[in-house]
Amino acid sequence: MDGGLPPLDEGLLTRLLERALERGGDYADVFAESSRSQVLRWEEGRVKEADLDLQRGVGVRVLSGEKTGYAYSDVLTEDALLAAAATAAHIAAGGGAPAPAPRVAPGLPDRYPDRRPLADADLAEKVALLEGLEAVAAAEPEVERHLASYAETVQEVLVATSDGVLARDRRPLLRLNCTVVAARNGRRETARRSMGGRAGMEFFDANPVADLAREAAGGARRLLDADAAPAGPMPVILGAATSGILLHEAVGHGLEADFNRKGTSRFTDRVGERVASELCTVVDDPGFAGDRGALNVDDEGRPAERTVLIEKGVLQGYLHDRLSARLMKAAPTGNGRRESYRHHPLPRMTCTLMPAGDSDVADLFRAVKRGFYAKSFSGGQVDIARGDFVFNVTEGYLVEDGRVTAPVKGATLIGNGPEIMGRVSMVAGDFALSPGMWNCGKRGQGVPVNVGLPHVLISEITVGGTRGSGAP
Amino acid sequence: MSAAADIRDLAARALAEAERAGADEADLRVFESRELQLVVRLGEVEVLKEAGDRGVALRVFKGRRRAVVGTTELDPAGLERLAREAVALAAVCEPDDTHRLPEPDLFAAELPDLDLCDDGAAPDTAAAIALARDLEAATLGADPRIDNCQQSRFTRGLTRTVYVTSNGFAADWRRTGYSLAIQPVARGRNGERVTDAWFQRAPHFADLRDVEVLAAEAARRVLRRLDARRAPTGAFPVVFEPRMAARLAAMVFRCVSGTAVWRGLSYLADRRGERVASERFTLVDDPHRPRGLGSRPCDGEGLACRRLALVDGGALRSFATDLESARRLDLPPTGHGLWGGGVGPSNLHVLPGDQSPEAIIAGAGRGLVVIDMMGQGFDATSGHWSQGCTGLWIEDGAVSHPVSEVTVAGHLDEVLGGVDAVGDDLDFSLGAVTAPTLRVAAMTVAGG
Repeated sequence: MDGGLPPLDEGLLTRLLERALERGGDYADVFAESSRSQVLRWEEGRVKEADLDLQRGVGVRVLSGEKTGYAYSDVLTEDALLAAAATAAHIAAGGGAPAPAPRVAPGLPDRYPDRRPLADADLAEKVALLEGLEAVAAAEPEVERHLASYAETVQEVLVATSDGVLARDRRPLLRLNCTVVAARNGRRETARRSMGGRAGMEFFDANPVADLAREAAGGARRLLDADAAPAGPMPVILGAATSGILLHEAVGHGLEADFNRKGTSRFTDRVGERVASELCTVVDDPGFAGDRGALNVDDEGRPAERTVLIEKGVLQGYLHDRLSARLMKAAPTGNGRRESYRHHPLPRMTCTLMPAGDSDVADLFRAVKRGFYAKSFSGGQVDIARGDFVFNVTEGYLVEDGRVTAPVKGATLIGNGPEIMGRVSMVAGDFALSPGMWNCGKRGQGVPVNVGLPHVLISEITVGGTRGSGAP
Repeated sequence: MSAAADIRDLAARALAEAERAGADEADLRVFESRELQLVVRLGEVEVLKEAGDRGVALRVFKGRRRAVVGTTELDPAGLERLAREAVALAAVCEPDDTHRLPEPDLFAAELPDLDLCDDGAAPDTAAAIALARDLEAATLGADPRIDNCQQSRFTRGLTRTVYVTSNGFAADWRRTGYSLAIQPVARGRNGERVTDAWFQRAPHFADLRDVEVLAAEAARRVLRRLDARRAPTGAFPVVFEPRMAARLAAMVFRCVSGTAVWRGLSYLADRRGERVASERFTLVDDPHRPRGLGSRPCDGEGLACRRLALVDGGALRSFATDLESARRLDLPPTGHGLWGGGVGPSNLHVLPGDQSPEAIIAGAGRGLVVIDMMGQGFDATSGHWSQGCTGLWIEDGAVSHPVSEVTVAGHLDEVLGGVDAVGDDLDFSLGAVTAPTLRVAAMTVAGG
């Protein structure tokens, strides 16, 4: 089951693109994919189950004006693929289009430096990672149960476009997940931690599994010690790394060009305007080698690039796929991504981050008389139109008179993107990327992403706990 | 690969390959689907996607070890490789006594015909485009403040599943699904944009409501969000509209799921037989509703399933189990298994009460109606819940104005125990998991 890419030679690619444009579309592309995914599930001190999944297929897309025609097939015969191309072609209603341009491969970086490729590593070595987690988690005090999983996918893609691009990419992705249940006096708390990236097995040299297990165990124990979280608006300090989810939800989605092309985002028509405090610069950067958000080329054959979205509080531009760039007459940014050959591309983020600022971390805390320290996060969601977003805190503390005091239960933070970005009042110098664990969902499609952020102080945000009024 | 015989032959061949590769037992799912997805925006087709899909997932058991492999490659050579890979993969697992197929007498003896497949005339692509256009036009035409639309979407799907086991069970069922969805955008006086998504799904095309009915509801729902203010912070009665009450029902299901219970990942793990909710709260799962959105003739493991009250008059009557959790907990399987592991509900619903939603709001005096939820703020292990919401503020027993950037929080024990009103408005067309309007006496609301 080492399938490899569907066998599409140059001649067949040309015939597929010709068929796709037979009714006069503006543009067509063929996306061929082979993905091999492996999961090992660990429970009760042993590998409980192993899964393997192999997906192979081809998607054909035709653009005509603002319209998209899409079809795919996992039957890889020429007839079946030509039939898919003909189905996609139906979106256009006219005569034939010019012949597809001769295809050239763009020069691409190599951002997945897998010195020890996943495919070459022994299954036993992957099992050993889980054993390593178990050894540490089981020895931690108050740990009642430990669950873990190792997941890897190697996705190979080929994109051929009617305007002359032929791009290939081979994308490794791994993730190690650790869930710990801690118990005390009949009360139980769970904490889950993950890490990973677009890398090979060498990832674990720099990221020891023991640290992951200790963090999860410590997280669950802290929840046993935790008081109820406060309720109401108050100053909030966001921890470095996973708090970058703030940017992803509060800013990133609203800057995906499809929403702005359609006039449905809070950020529509605001390029050049002030949309955040001048301390805020926000960048989408696929260039961190080995990162979960790293990307060489997008799923439309465009090299993936660093894009400055907000600079010193001023909106610079949007994240584009080919369709939005063409319709909005903007430069493409290489953000056309899709979950698989079953899906058409959409403008998507890669690794969204705020670079380091000038403040000292200690000064952020000194500035807070009574507030909330949201050290790490597990997820979030945004309403693009209003810009309202939430994110879920996994590790939070009270801040009293400039000092971090009691741990509190997880709580939801809720706010409005542009308003919250306007209330960023201090940005520390300790930028960090989140551990590679994030999946982003949009219109039913999931893609791996990452985020990064230094410690940031927000002058006021609503904390959704249960304890009294949080007003100072 | 569409003739009925082909797909069954393929299943039989794959099972034989598994046996040849050394498996003690095996089961297999072959699925085949076709989908049409159509998005219209501002009168024009934006996306037209039409495709077919198929795949096979094989699970092998060898010496109580278990592995699952799936592939889209269905040629004989592919199947042989699949079986060999599965058996090799099982070898890295450790034995678990629960890893075996069900005893044959546990399999569903008969598979009721639940009328889940629409064999009537389906709309062709042109008719589907007209439907989505009409839905959008009616929504945009409902009020001048509705000036944009994210999408108007029609989908049609057909899935066929064949499930066979090496110890003699075989099931073969087809299911159709249709949906219409609309996501209008309305603009307020100060330029504020609001959006809301409204949709309906049904196994039979004829059961989708008229586009005028959907459009009127979508328009009402988006317009009521305009000019939102902040809510106060404090303890208030909270009313959950049906789709939001359904989310609450799904949270309770997570906590009574046998999988969460045996792992200790549910705050209800030790509470079977005890009072866990107000006596007004009864949670039922009913797999055999004709044309039900979540109906199934048997569960994902081929086991018989039937109507079951999980929470009855506030008492926790039963956990929802699959074969593995039933074996672990020494309880009978309730037919909630999903193939490949874990449990899932079928047509999960909260039984209706006798109060109208208006009366429930009137009885709240001052509080919040939750009309939308954002994010995942529920922890099943501890029962703690903190949820981002959009809502309507209630003053003097009537809806006064919309509120945004609100959270509600509490422990699920207090939330369920505090259910003091249950609506008469249960609607099975809202989703496979559904509920009437529910009111909780008090939760912590955090606003501005």
